[in-house]
Amino acid sequence: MQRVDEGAGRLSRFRSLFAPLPVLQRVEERWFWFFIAPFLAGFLLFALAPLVASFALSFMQWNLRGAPTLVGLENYADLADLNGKGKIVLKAFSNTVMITVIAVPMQLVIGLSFALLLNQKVKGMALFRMAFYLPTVVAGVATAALWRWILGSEGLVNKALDVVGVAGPAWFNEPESVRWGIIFMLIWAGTGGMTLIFLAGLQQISKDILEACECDGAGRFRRFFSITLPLLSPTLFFNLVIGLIGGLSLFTETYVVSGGGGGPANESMSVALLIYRLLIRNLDFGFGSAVAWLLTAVVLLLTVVNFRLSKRWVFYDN
Amino acid sequence: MVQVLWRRTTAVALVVGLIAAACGGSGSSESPDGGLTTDPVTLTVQIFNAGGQAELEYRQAQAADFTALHPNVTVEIVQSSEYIDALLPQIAAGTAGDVIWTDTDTGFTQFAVAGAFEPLDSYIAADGYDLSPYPEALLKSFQLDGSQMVMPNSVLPFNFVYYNKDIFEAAGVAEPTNDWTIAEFVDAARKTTDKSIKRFGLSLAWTEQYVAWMRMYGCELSDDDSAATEYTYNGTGCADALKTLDDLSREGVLNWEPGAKFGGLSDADSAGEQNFSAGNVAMLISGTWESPAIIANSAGAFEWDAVSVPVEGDGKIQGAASGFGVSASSENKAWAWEYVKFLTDIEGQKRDAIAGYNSSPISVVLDDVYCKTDALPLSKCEITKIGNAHIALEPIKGEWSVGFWDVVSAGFEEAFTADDQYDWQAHLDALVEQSTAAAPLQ
Amino acid sequence: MTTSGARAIPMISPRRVAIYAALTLFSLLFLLPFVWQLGTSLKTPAEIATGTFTLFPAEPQWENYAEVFRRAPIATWFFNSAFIAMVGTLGATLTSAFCAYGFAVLHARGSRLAFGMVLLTILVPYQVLIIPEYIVWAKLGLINTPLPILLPWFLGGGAFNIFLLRQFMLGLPRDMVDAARVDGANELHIFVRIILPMCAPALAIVAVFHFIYMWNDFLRPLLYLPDPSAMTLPVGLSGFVNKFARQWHLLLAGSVIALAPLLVVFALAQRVIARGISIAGVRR
Repeated sequence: MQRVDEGAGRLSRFRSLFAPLPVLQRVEERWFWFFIAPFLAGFLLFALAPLVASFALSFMQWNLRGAPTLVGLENYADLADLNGKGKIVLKAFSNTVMITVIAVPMQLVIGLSFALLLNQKVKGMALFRMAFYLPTVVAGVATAALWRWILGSEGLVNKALDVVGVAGPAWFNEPESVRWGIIFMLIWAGTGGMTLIFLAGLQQISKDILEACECDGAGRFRRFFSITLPLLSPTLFFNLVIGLIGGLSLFTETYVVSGGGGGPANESMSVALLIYRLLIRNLDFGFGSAVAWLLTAVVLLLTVVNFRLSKRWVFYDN
Repeated sequence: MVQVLWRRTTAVALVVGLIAAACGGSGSSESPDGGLTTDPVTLTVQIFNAGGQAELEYRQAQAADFTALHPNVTVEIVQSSEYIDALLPQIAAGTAGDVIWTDTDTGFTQFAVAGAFEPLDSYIAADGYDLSPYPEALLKSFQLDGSQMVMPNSVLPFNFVYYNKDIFEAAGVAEPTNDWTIAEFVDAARKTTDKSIKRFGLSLAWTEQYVAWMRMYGCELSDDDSAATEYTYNGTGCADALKTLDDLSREGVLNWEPGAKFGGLSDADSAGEQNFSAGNVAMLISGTWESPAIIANSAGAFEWDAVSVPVEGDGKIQGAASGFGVSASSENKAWAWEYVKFLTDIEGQKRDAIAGYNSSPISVVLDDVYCKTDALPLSKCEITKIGNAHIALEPIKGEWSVGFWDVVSAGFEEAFTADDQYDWQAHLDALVEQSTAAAPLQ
Repeated sequence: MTTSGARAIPMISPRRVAIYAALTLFSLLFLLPFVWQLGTSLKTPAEIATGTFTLFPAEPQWENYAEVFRRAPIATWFFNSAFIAMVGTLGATLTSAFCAYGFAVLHARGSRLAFGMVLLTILVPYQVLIIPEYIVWAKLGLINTPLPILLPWFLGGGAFNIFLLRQFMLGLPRDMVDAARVDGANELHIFVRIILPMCAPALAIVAVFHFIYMWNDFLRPLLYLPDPSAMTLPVGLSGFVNKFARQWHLLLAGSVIALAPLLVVFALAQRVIARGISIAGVRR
């Protein structure tokens, strides 16, 4: 939220950070820090140390016993060694990116469609809404069994496909189909949350605006694209960013499906699962931390790009 | 600017402090003989949530018995599921309690490498503790670099073949006996399969079944399980074992999903024991712990019994073993050692055996409890003895998990799900090369 | 029930029928996991084993629920979960709204950097942070208390929540805020009297999401509340299925019991979400 002209060069913008501000701005600034204070306190007390420690560990070698030994950039060099340790890292990234790129847009489109559907003035809306959100709520230990039932070799989906005459794959037990199984899981379970957020966003849109445009004779589609969608853009932006971050941080589904193994044949190994295994199974804290920060860098880059691009299409009511 | 510098310094200090503090926990060990204080002491005992509420209550009662003998010592039992996930942070922070349960596939390797256990050799020597009742191989499997880390309490060979008598009769196959051969076993599996009614000849109920199968054929995983320097799972018997398994899989004899987690059955799909209990599988390879579940789940629907897996030549029986160790970060090591002895000595093992919470490796306990009383009619004394006599545990070395399991699980899953059968000898040769490259055992 | 932005539709029309049909179809699809849980929890272990394809067994074993209560201290776990989830949600909702106001409405140098820090906490994979976090709490001597689980939600309220509420607040019309400032109201007043009420649907969503998240959270209670008397539902239920005893019927019965409060919470939140915001009197 810079008050400074966007066209100014970076150096002058940096300098302007230290220029004295007019009184009103200073007052507003103090209020800002007052409101942010709880977060800052929490961050400094609980979040900062682990963040710094894990970053530092990526330059060390440690298996929990004794003190870590400094190894400089060796872990990062190992990341790049695509015939050695880096091979599985590349596989994990390729799995994770593929799943994210397919699942997230579908979640967004389906989520928005459902939200539009739910935003109608129809009786029993509360019940429908509950139904849509329910899959997200069925969590925890029973999830594995549930998904076996749905996507097992003789599961619901395959039985349904049988009816149509198509032979379904073994989903989680075949290298070729396990990632599609995970995508399916993500869409089923993840859309509910997005739907709810879209719904809240839709309901925020002033009835007055929409009615005004109706009087002006605009058609329904036109209304949607010219009015609803732009006003919904902050919400859409949120869902997009969170969806991408969530997709790239994929862990639970891959763990549940493969029993923690990342199989079959490493096809369900996500980056987060790989990190988990490096840390907990191999006790390789140095390399594991390096992989984690590589993922952080990737997601950070993606998020920054998103925020930059958002200036073009996200419409804030300022 | 100053703010940034200050933050950076704090950060560095935090990291250094954090790591130093974490490592500070593994301090010097107490002298074993000076330690038995009469001041009030509280011991925390960590156990895995395997037996649920029932086991928690049993262990709490056991703890109360110890307090009756030593009134100044209170024992608290803490039970965790996701045992490795729960304990590793505690080990790192130096707050892992006083006594830690472990088992060869529930954390022993990780905990030992992470320095969770206090070496017991000096305590054993100071007490003149008699180790002769314990099988040598078992003690060795709980040593790291020659130091005894854990006292074994239970050994779990995967050597029970539960079989459905009704199915055998219907298929006209002779019932197995404890001295049957591998050929007879495989043949029985084939003959009792009937795909038209979705009946399988054999189910493997444990995730490490690849390894158990290979052991049965005399395949050696390494050159020395307690001090491995070489991967040898492409040696004699190994390719035969896997080819047979692959054949059985392709013929539809096995009740499994070839791609599911180590080629066994993933935790969620428990069709191993449960499908057997439902009467759809002729034979089930598992361990003695499966009996209560089978009794409960089959509810008398069919006649069944158990024999040992076939043992011939150099064949071994894969197993796991569990025990208790003293935590390196304990502040009451001498008392913790007393409690470990209380749990794992002959009397302690008898108690656990009677209550059904272990399968003892000590032959005296076997004779007294399993083979005499009706208390455990399902433990099958003879089968257990065969299992204990031929048991082989997983090679204990930090790199083993990485070099073996990571390579083998992906490699085997690939082979079992391939359209055409692989040349197993060539495939194993290639995998051994990968293992050696990924985690050399020197 | 007024839903702002919704359009009034004539009573019976092809459009209405289509909407109902679509809603019903998808609802059934989404209800499936829940129905499956309920149905399977009523089966006998043998029925579960054979994986028969019926959703509901011929003879529902209501016994299973009684057995769950007999075999485990479900009530204790339930109350522990309830306490943690309620307190945590209260803290998270209020605190994240508080912080989000700063990010959304107030301008300051360094606000971007601060927001970056917020995002950083969800960008770094939590797997690498678990052990260092645990060490921090261990050194503070707070293991075996609910503080490690609750305190972070009172200091910041969670990056996800802050981000969500910030987006919402950014989408609100600024007229009222500016008008209030001109009238001399201070920021706290504006936050409590103007912004907070306008955010009601978003707050309800944050509360619901957060409650469900805390209720289902497995890892933190596993690490920080190991004492048997302090256990929460997910951790307790995980004891039913493990290497040696796979009692799926009990696990699922327990899971259905665990699910019930979430439905209640959701139903309660519905009212707030449905009410929408009334911005009568402010025209563009």
